[in-house]
Amino acid sequence: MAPDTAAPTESPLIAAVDVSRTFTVRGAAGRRRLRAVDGVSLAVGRAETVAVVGESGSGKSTLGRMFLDLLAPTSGRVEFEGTDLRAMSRSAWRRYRREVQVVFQDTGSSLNPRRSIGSSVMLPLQYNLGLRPSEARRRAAELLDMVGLRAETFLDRSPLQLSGGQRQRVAIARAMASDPKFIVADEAVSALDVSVRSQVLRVMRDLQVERGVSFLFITHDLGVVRAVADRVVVMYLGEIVESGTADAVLDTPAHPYTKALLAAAPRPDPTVRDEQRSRLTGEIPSPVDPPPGCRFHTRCPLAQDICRTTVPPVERFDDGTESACHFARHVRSGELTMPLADDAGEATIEEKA
Amino acid sequence: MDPLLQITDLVVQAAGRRGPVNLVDGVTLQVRPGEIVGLVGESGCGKSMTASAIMQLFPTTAVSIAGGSIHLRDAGRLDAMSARELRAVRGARIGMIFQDPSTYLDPLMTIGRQVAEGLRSHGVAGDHRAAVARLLGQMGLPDPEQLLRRYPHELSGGQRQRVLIAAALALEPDLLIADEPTTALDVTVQSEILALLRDLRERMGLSILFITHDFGVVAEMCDRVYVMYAGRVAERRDIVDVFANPRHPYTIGLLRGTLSPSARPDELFAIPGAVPDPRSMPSGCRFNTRCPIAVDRCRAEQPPLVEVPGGAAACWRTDDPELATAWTDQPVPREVSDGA
Repeated sequence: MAPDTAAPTESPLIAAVDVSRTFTVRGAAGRRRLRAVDGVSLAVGRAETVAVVGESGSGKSTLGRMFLDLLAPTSGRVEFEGTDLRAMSRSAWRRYRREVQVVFQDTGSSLNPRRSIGSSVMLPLQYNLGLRPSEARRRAAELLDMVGLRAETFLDRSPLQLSGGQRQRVAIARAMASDPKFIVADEAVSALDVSVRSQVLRVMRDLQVERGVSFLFITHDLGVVRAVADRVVVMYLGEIVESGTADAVLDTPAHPYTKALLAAAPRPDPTVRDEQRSRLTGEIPSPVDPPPGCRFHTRCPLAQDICRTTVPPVERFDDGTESACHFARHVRSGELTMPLADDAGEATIEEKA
Repeated sequence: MDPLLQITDLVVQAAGRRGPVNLVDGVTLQVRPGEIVGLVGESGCGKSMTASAIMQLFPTTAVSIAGGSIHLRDAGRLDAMSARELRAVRGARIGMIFQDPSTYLDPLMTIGRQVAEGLRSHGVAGDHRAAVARLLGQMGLPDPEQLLRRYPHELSGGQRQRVLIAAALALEPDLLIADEPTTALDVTVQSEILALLRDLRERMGLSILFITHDFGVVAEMCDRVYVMYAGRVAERRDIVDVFANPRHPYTIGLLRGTLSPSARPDELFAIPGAVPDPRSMPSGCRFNTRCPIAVDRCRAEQPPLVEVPGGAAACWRTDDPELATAWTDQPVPREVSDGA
């Protein structure tokens, strides 16, 4: 999670190549197709941490599930170490299954309540790594200690006896048990207290430093993004609207949506309260009926006529940042500023004299 | 000005197999009219238990108030009230909202009926539709007339939380207890709900007791904050003071571990260890087992809350210059040994 690692030049560990995923939904208007992810390409390098941010309904979790092969793309493909998941040999696919792991937000439902914590963590050690039960138990104890759960206390407990934060750490220990190369963390630390969250993030970072594990962090917490991500991808209604190094995107965002997310994030500083910052109005529209032109235009305080009609091209910056906004350069340079929450006035581009 | 809510030396006890256990142990807390007061700390510090004690809505019957008093202005001692008397206070004087709005909405009841239920149960007669629609509109919900006939599943998480705020405020209470009300929401929605709550304070003079573990939310919302640790108040401060110059090592540690999108932290700081089990509390200062500057006195004697600028802190070393650098001189504890 070094701050200066840019996009990998060698072949990526895992990559989504132009993936889309549609769902059929039944509503008052009959069966309709919902495009949850729409033509997204995203590669994650070795020992790299990529964060995917966006509101509920942005498609970030659907994208994560395609990386995990929990959902098949409707079009496009996911490649692990250069091989399409669909074209893998049985043994390659089993290796993929072992080396790609996930930690979900809701661990209440992902741990078997009839198994002890120890046995949940031992299972992948025995099945995936072929350890004998005694070795597996010892390693499970190490893993639990690593995530800050005293093994002697927790090995024989049931998930039902644990708090949410404790179950979350068990899920992380279990994901790490298979000696993975890639972990998808889907809001994995959002529900944790600050101290536990930092402990867990540190465990993940150490794993990256020591074993070169890569992470896809799906999160809405921009503080976590800043702390751990090398690169960040911002999604809105199934599309990537901005991507770049975490520091570039968070310091000089080039898309109004990124700016709005940053403005909404609470800051631990009572002297800069959010009443002085811009706020998005309304909620994310339904992906069944995405707005024409730029999908963000219905909520964008900077939207102009062109945004309502024309899909914005991707603007590329020298530092690798990409932004799908007609006014990306103006947004990034600060020539185009976001109106404050109570400003009714329309935004305008100030021409440089 | 008289406080609206005055909690004094509150003790909340759970019956245990080996005798009673104090989950909240001598908490004194005030909420003044029109004030937003934060209650922060890690899970298991007793902040939700303290809030539950106000309306005696404990998760099980094994938990009860075992000492101290809870006084609501013009209502008297809530801790001494019967269930029936408390019901009259609930809703009319004190509203409540929680983390997961869907848990508190009946999926089979329309939004209009759920919000009106409080009015009906308090004997407000007549047709409530107009009043409820007006209330939903005040919560920033579009098409309130339409909304009356809709069901919870047709709403987004943010809309549901607005409906619950409307229901909590239907009888115009003067105190709102908000227990992690935005933790489950998107940041954009969170920011709108926080703005709504601040706005309601301005418009209605509402007081809010805001329970959260997020110091970012505290900074956005609160006038004052109580930091709880292991069932006690570790620090009570005005909002600017707690961020500028925290005076308890626990607060300093929590703030240091708070992640901000504005800057990459030098290291991922975490207070080592965990909140002690209420069944086996350390002697002396309860934080001494995790404190980097604990001395013998901290292990022997419980520190009282002593006055500091803008509030009070319960630490024997709160005036010690070493306090400010308590955590910075600490090597980051590592769970994984270096194999050295």
